[in-house]
Amino acid sequence: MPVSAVTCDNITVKFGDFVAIDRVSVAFEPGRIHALVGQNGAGKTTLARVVAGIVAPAAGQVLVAGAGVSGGVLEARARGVEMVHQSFALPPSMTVAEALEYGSTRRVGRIFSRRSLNARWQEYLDRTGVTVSAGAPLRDLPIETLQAVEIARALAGDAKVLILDEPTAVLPPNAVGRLFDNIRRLRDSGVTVIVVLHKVREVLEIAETVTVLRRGELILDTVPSGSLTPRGFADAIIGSENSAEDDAAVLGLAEAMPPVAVAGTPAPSQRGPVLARLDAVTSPDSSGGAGLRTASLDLHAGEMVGVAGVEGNGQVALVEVLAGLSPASRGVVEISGEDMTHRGLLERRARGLRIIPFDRNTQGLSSASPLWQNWATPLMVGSRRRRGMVRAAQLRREATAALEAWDVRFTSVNQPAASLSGGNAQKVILARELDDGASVIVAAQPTRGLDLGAVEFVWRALRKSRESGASVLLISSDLDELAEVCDRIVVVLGGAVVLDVAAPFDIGRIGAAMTGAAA
Amino acid sequence: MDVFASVLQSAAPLILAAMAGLLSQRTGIWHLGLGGLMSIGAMVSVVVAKETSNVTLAVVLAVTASMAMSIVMWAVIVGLRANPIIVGIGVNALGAGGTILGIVALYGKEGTVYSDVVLPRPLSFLDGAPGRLSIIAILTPFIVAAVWFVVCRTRFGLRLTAVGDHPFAARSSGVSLPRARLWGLGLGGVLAGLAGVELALGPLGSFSSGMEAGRGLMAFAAVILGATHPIVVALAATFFGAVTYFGIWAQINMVGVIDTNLMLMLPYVVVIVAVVITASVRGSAKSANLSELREG
Repeated sequence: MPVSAVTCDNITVKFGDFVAIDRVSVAFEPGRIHALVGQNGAGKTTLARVVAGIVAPAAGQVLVAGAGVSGGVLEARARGVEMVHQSFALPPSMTVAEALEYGSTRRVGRIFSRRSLNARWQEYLDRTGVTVSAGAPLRDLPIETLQAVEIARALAGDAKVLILDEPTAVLPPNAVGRLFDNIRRLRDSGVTVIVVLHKVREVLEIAETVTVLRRGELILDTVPSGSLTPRGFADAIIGSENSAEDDAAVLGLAEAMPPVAVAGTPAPSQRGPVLARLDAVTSPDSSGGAGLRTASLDLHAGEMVGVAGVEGNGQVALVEVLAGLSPASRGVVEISGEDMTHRGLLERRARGLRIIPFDRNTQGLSSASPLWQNWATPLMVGSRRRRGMVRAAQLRREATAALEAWDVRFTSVNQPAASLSGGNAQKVILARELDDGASVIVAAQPTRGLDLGAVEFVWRALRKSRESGASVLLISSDLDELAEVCDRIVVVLGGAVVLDVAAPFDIGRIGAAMTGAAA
Repeated sequence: MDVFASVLQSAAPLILAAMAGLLSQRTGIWHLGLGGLMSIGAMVSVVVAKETSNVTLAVVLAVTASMAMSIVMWAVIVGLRANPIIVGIGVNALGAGGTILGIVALYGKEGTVYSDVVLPRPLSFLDGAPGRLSIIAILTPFIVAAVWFVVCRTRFGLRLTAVGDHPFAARSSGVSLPRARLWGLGLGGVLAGLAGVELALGPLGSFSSGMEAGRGLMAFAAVILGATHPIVVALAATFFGAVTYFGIWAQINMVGVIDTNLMLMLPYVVVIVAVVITASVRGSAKSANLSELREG
């Protein structure tokens, strides 16, 4: 038996009191493609970072090719272990060549002219088949190219083990295939690849062995992927106590199944009148990516519309324009039949607009403020209370009742929002936004980073709002999620709405539209 | 020629301090303590020059004192995880108050301290302003070039930049954040100390409390205006220096035409206007993200 490329020997990682990895021992054979799988928070990224030397374990040891590594990143890299991070660890102000150079461990070229730097790395990029100019600033590059650059950076040294953290999460569907081809090529050239994934379908497609973590514990240990059924696999990831159907959808098995409505949900009701309308709206670019480019969109009552697109193609602008946080330089925004183009957020809220923002911790909640204030913000700044007086005692009582009704796990309405887990924090936002007056609900990435139970909870809440006659706009980077819950999907590309299709969905066509290939 | 030399003389401390702020900014630490370091450098240089008449020793000790203070800053910011902006303001206050205390402790009374010796003036064979330029003022453009080379043309400089730009990226490729910040602040301490020396021993040969007069913050404004690119930052600092020079010139040559107090305000007004204009042109500074700085 050959010496393992990487061995984790009884690794434990703690963040404060929280045990992220609990006595995990696993050995990865050389020259194969290994998948490291688990739900959000299962510890897979943490374990990957331990192997790469970025996170120091509280106990246990990592061995590379049979020898212990304890000297952090530099020693791990010297032993040929390289990691590519999910959101790419590339300094945005740099050019491609600068980003490749700064972390380089080569002895030559510590001092350079711009021309020699670019020439040296251009030659490397050409050799490895990455089509990008070495002098291009990183902030101008599309996501797929950034990923290629990041992988090229990792391979620039003498990499023997390449760790990819959720490499598919940021890619449009047709780019995933190209990535997998590259991974196989690397394996054929002798590199051991460890891929962190969470979608069963992708795991079964690419991986030769599968390792599953659940809540920091090892569940499956480098099992050959051929020996697994999707069903048994999903059970290993989730734990058998959970229900089957919806979880399968969350894990990305759904695509293989016909797009049926989930049990217990009536088929989409007849769609009602238009509740919100964007008419040829153009808005300026922002830090969140492209602005809108003559985007038109009708949102009907009783309808859930999904917004698909590679991140940075106008999703942020769409939310901000609807909320009135970003001006529409041309076009008209209507809510409940009234022209709201130049009205503020409060007037829009008064007409039923509700927002579940992209980042619940910074935009959705004031993390230092108590729960009751977070819940009662619209009541305090809105119109219902008279003369600007805040009746704290009454609001506390109402908040307690509302949060309990929404199944938020909390001990006191006075505890700060920061003390809640992701799922509970999102429930506070749902309790606030999905009130009786909600008629146009904009949900931006509402399930990102949540565990399966909480994802399901958010879906149910949005479906319920839709069935009670509201219009829901769901923005998600997870195409499977959109296909599962939406009645209609629009695709944004460079701020324009390039595709608008109703269920049942053709995922391939949507994926093509996301990247600008002919729809 | 006179004007160029006068502007360089007026701008040299600003440019050097701005280079110090730039090195720190590149590693992700907003350096608001530049003025404090300049004051310390200025005081130490004048006191040592007065007592020993040895200019070289004065420069060396002033730079050492400023660098030591920078390393204390580093220890407080990186070691104790203090907010760099608060620490910077503290260092500023310490520079203003501590130098007064030092003067009183040494000489028993407040007031201006005069040194008999000043920095060498290599061009003294020339008449007028160029002849009065100190060695540090003359070297300033070369120091800017050196900072540019180190920051933009070496792997070391790229690593400093990566630390401020994307701390996690830097850390995950094996760059030590504390060490990079020690370099940034330490080298910055040397340059800010030189700025103080030039301020006190360049044209004047004296130290008085408050002579720094907000130059540290002007230099910091130049760092922001120049978006941490050495050449652009140096140009911004030179511009502020030119305005300062013009204010002084107008005080002397335009008495009765414009109120002198208005002229004294001029550099600060220009700094505010310049920062506002660039902020609105460039959009709000995204690098103001303090949480990112806590990483590592």
